[in-house]
Amino acid sequence: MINRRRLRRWHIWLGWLVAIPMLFWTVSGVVMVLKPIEEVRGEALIRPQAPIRLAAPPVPPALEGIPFKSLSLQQRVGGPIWVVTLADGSTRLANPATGAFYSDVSGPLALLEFMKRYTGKAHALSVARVDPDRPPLELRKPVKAWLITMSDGAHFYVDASGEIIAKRTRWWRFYDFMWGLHIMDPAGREDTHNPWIITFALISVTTVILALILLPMTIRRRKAEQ
Amino acid sequence: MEPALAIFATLLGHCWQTQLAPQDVDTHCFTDMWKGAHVRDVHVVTHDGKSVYEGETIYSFDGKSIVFTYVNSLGGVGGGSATVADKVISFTGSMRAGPGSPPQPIDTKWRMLGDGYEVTTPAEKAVRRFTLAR
Repeated sequence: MINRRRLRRWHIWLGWLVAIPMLFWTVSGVVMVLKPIEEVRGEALIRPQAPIRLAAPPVPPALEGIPFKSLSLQQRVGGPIWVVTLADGSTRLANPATGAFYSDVSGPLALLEFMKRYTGKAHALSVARVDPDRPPLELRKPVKAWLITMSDGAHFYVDASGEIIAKRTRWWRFYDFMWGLHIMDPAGREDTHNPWIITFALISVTTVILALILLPMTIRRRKAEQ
Repeated sequence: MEPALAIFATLLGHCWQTQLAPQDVDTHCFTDMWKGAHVRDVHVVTHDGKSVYEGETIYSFDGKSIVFTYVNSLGGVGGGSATVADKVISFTGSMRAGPGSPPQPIDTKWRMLGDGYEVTTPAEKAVRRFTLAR
């Protein structure tokens, strides 16, 4: 026979243990649903690239013997350009008219590529190179990139090919912090399978199951007392 | 080369410098970028031969007009557009000297000469002449 008093004691003690995580989960959950995800991601801040118009059939770059993942023709401020993604994830650029390789985009060119597509009202405060060996947490990718800091606090990342690879508004950063709390990985904000969240999730489930067992027992007891 | 950027042709492949003050020199080196899709202007300001700051401007044709974007090592950012008429390039836009600085309007004219170019800015009384760097 299940001892109601013992179950109740377990439920209370487990409840104390998961009170703070549950508070984090609910508060972060509320924050994450407050705004549409498109607004959080700043999707409206960047307009899509213009369609490509070629003057002549494109000449592919010489890639014989070079391991690469993809070759795509992309639009940039100066016109279409080949973007070769190599096996290690880095990119090389090439001229579609001749197939000749280009240099990576520089800071001002990254800013130009960004400003041509930016639809917001803020202005650029600075342009800084990102160290691919120590990328900012908000970028998440170890790639060569330029960080453009805007006057409204938004950060935009433009990679070495001139593509805008990350849009980080202030709200996105707050959302991301809350996501880190939600999955109990505030440092990396990627690992949804860490021991902390698994442990506390199991304790929480146990606490709720105990509550569901206790509820009818308590109702029956109260009725019996009446 | 992009026809709209042909005005820069005589500057490409060379460095041009001007004396800002007795010990201060501004040197601009122009190169063709991406087979003429852009013109790259990398400059360095030196004091007594030591670099004070460096910057880079990219001139491009966006399909309608010449546009330029500038970034320097002090955190300065600027940009705008340019029009060409009779060997004179007129630049308009705005520039921030640093991340916290207010925007300053850009209103500059470059007159292309056979052996360099002259820069006129209303705020400065003197005309700066850039000559081939030695």
